Amino acid sequence: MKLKQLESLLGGLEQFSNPKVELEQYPTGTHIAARMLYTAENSFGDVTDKLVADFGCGMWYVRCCSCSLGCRKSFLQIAENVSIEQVIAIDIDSQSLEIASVNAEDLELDINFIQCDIRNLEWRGQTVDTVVMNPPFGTRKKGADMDFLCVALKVASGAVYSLHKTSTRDHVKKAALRDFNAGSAEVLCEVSEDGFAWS
Amino acid sequence: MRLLTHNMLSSNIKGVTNGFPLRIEVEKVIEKQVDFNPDFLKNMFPKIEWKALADASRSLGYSELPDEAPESSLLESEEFLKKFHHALLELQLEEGALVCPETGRKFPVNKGIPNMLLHEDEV
Repeated sequence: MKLKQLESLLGGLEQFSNPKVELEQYPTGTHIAARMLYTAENSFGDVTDKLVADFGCGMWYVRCCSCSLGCRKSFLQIAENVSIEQVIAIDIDSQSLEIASVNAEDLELDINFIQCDIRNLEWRGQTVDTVVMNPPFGTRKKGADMDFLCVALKVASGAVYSLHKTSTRDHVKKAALRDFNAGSAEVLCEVSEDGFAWS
Repeated sequence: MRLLTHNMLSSNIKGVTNGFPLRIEVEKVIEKQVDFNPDFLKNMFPKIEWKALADASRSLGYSELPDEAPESSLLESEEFLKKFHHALLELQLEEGALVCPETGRKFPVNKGIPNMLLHEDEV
């Protein structure tokens, strides 16, 4: 899959008309979402044949994106030699889920949606391979980003790709390694909107 | 909701210790064709709680899976993989509920989406 093609596909998707400030629902820029999944797939092989979970608000870009990377049935058909995987998308907000399912239908993608507060997510161990997320940065509700990270590292057997503000980088790294038992934590990519992804 | 999702979800009510597997109450089941991908199935097989999948598929009206977890050598059999594929990905609970095995609390499933949001006194 070409990065440019992925970006243009994502650019056509529906966005929030009334973002909820308390949930920090800012849409993930298409180039960031595309870059994150492109790296996860092409550098680390964490998407093809894998079970991928997508955590949190404002993320339907990534939802649809992670699917289209692997979905032969999608109208794209540009991802040669990539097989279907399953995506599980979790969100607390009914409106997000509605928009996400409309987008999924438009793209003819099957996505497994769950309505749940990530902080109260209870799974039977490390059942997914990869988690992708753009957590709330914790600017409205302190620690929200860390809550997401804690749960993500608990349920992922492979890798977690997460976007954070550059100013919280050291704190995020330290917490992941010390408090949440991450095997390693590294910055994979710095992007212009003051965020970065790591695994 | 596919049984793939059911196989991961546990009751998340505070204080519940045996929250897995959630019982299924069926109102409407649908079947959707999903492309068959043996590599994905082989990757998923060791992660699946077999008995929960076999029981859940039976409650959705499909009784082709063995009760006991099969040997991994069966993964070479296409006939077996197809049954596993069907139960895990193609059977879907469209309307109904998931029931906490310990407290009996029901989590509704509408339009295929399970709602695991808790009330204030359950967190």
